[in-house]
Amino acid sequence: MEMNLLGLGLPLGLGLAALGSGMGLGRAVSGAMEAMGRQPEAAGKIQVSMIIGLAFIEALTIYAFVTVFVLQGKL
Amino acid sequence: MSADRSLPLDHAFLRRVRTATIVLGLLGSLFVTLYAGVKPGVGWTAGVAVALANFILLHWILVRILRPQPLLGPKVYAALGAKLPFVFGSVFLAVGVAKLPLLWFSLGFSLLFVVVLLKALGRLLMTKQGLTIGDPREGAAFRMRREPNGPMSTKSKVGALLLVIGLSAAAPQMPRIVAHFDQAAFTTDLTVESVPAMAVAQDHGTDAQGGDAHGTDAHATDAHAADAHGADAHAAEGHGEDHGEDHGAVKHFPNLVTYITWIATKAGVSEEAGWLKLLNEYENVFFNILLAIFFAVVTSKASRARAMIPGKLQNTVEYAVESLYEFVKGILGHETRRYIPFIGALFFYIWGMNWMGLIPGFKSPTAYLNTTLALAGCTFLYVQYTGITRLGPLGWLHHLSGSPNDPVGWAMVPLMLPLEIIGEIAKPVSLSLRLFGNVMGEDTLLALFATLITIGIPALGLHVGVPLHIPFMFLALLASTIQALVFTLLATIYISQMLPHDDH
Repeated sequence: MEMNLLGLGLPLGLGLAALGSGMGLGRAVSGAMEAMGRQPEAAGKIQVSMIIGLAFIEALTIYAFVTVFVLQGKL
Repeated sequence: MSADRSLPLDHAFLRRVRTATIVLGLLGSLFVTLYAGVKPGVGWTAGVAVALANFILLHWILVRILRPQPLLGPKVYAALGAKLPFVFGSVFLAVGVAKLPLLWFSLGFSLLFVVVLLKALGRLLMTKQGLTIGDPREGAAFRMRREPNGPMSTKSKVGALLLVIGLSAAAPQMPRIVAHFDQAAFTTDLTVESVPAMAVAQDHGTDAQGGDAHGTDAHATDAHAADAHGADAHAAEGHGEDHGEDHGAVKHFPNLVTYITWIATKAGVSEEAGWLKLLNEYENVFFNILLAIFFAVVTSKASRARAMIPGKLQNTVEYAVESLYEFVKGILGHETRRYIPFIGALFFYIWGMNWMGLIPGFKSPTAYLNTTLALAGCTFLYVQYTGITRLGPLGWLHHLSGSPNDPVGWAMVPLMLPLEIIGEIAKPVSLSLRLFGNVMGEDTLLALFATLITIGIPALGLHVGVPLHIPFMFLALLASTIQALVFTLLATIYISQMLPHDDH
């Protein structure tokens, strides 16, 4: 029975991580889009830094995802 | 030396032989240590070292004797006298006293002679093609065959064909040879406990849920995922899907290695055969090598006959390289030229590996933590190397202490140094985990949706499966590219942080 708790917790944890990360990604992209709209000539530079930021934010979900796979064997 | 052109054994030749032997010997000792164990590795290295020392001594003596005015001092006589005792003594020490394996020692010892033989053959080939011996392009003797008189002659074509046929005729013997070594070697070091661990694949397209899910069917790659995740892969063999808890139930498409294993086991090769085991264990390396060969062929083809008006292939490659160059230039500026080889190789290699998983019969090596960890480790070492060489050892330490330039900054050094070091170590970890998680998640997603093809058939009464994973493949195309770009971009930024900041 105690195993089932893990089965509940893993997807829930991953979902939570995805939720937070999604909010972060949304904020980052919206900020970048606004900046690009205001300064189209700087679009290239903004895009590069946006992608870097996105990669860092998204990595958090990936860590949760990897954790799920690590613990999946115990399910 | 005023070399006699008809004499193939001149000074440059000896130097070439020495360099080639050192390189091949080092590579060989790496491989022998990896595949056959530490002791054979030491034996091989000792053999190469003894042969090399002997050769260098001989070279030294020859240089002195074969001059226009020979230098025949007591040194030369001493060297001549010491040569034989040295060889016999070192062989005795290595095999008799240190008990190194004779087979590997003699293999290492004979490497030098093989190199001499091959180099001499290459020279013969060159003189036949009408090239002078001293040609600096000697190493490319085989490539030269084509350039002096246009395309390959019929004779060399027939020769190449015969060589290929001979090699393929010898190939069936290879498993036996490998299996022979296997007895002694593979069981000793560096093997995972539950080696073959050929779990049953979720064979997409056929109904693998049925009762045929047993050991001899579709051997798959779940074992790798299981190893990587620390799960126990023991019970994998001979068990079906119903024992999902053994191998984490990470789904993958079957790939070439799966098929080869399947065909080989059907054909009666034992699962314990050395080459099968090797192939299954180093599956990712197998695909890496395939990709490396692909890149080598494409790039050499594209850059061989460069034209002012490029052809299709040259145009594509040039476009790709140029775009990446411009992109990196935005970050590194005038330093781009120095670092673009590493960064470009990283990008195209990762991109290729990511996309490989979308081709039927292939898999993404990046969906395996070892691959990404190795890539990130290379990046880490390269970044630190850049820091040490470009900033100087002291400048590097200064950078690692948070670049203090006022008393407050210096006071913070004991706090900043550990933090920065942890930060440096976290970089490769996050790089590798990000790439691994993304690509593995993508591949798993595709495989999961591919299994739904068969599920739809009984439920909806369809006669043909619906390929539900196709839309996700487009997503995967995009995500793979972005991940390759992100890895490369971060590597570029890490490098740029290690460069002197004088232009800011």
